[in-house]
Amino acid sequence: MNDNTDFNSPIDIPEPLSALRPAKTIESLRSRVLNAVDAELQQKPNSPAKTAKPRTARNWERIAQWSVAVGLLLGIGLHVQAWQANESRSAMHGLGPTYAVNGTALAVKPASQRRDSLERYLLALATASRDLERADFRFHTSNRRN
Amino acid sequence: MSKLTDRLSHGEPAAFAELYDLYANRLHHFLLVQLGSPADAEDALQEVFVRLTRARDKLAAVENLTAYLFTLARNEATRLRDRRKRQPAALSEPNIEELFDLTDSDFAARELAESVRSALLRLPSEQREIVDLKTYAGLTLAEIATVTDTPPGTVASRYRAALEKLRTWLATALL
Repeated sequence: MNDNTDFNSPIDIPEPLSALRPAKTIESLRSRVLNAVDAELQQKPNSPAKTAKPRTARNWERIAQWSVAVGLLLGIGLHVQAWQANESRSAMHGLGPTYAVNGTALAVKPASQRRDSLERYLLALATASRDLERADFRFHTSNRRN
Repeated sequence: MSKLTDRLSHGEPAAFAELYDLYANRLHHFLLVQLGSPADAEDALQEVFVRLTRARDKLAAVENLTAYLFTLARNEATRLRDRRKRQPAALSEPNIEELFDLTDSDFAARELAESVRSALLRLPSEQREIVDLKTYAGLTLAEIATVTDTPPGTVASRYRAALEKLRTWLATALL
C-alpha cells in the first residue's frame, strides 16, 4: 500500500487472517430478526409511536431543570427582600450606611456621624442599665424594710 | 443490488430475508468484535434490521447498501456500548467458535483461529475495527472510510499499521 493506493480495490489481506471465515449466526436469530422486521412492516412507515423516544425521561429532565431555575430565582428574590428589610431596620435605628429603602435612595451617613450614632446608642444603653440597677436596688431595700 | 434496494424500499419481506442471508454473518461478526458479547451482538443485529425497515422509504436513494448497513451496525454498537457504560456489566471477550466458522476444522486451524482472535483483540479499537471490516466484512478502504467517517488516507495508514503489528504477533504465535 503506497501513495497510489486504490481505496476501492480488495487488497492486501495476509494469509492467516484470510484463512478464516466469520461464524454463521444461529438459526433462531434469523427467525427472530425477520419476525421483528415483519412486525415493523405492519406498522405505518415512520410511525411516531414506534420511532419516538420515551417521553417520561425527557419530561422529568425538563421538570428538574425548571424546578432548579425557579428555586434559584426564588432564593435570589427572598435574599434581596431580606437585605432590604435589614437595611430599613438599620436605617430606623440610625446604625450604619443605608443605600436604598423601598426604592428611595438615601444618603450614606459619613463615618463620623455613624460613630456619633453609635456613641449615642451606647450612652442610652448605659443610662438604661444604670436605671435598671437603681430600680433593682430600691426594690431590694424596700423588701428588707418590710 | 439496486434491485434489492428497490424491493426493500417497497417493504417486500422476501427482500429483507435475502438481505439477512447476504449480510447477517458478517454483520454479526463485526458487532461481536465491537461489543464482545454474543447476546449484545444479536440484539444489535436485530435492531439494525428494524431500523433499516423503519427507514425503508429512504433506501432507494442509498448508493452503497453495504456501507449503509455497516454504518447502521456501527451506530447501534456505539449506542449499546454507551448504554452498557451507564449500566456496567461484566466485560467479556468472544471465543473462537463465536467469531469464526470452525466446522470440520482440525487442531491446527483452531490454533490459528485462537492466535488470530488474540491478535485482533490486542489491537487498538480503531485499528481492530478497520481490520475487521476489511478482512471479515469484505469492505473496501473507501467503504470503511464512509462507515467510520474517517478520511480514506487515515483508514489506509491505520490498516497498514495494524497489519504490521498482526504480522509480528502472528509470526511469533505461529512459529
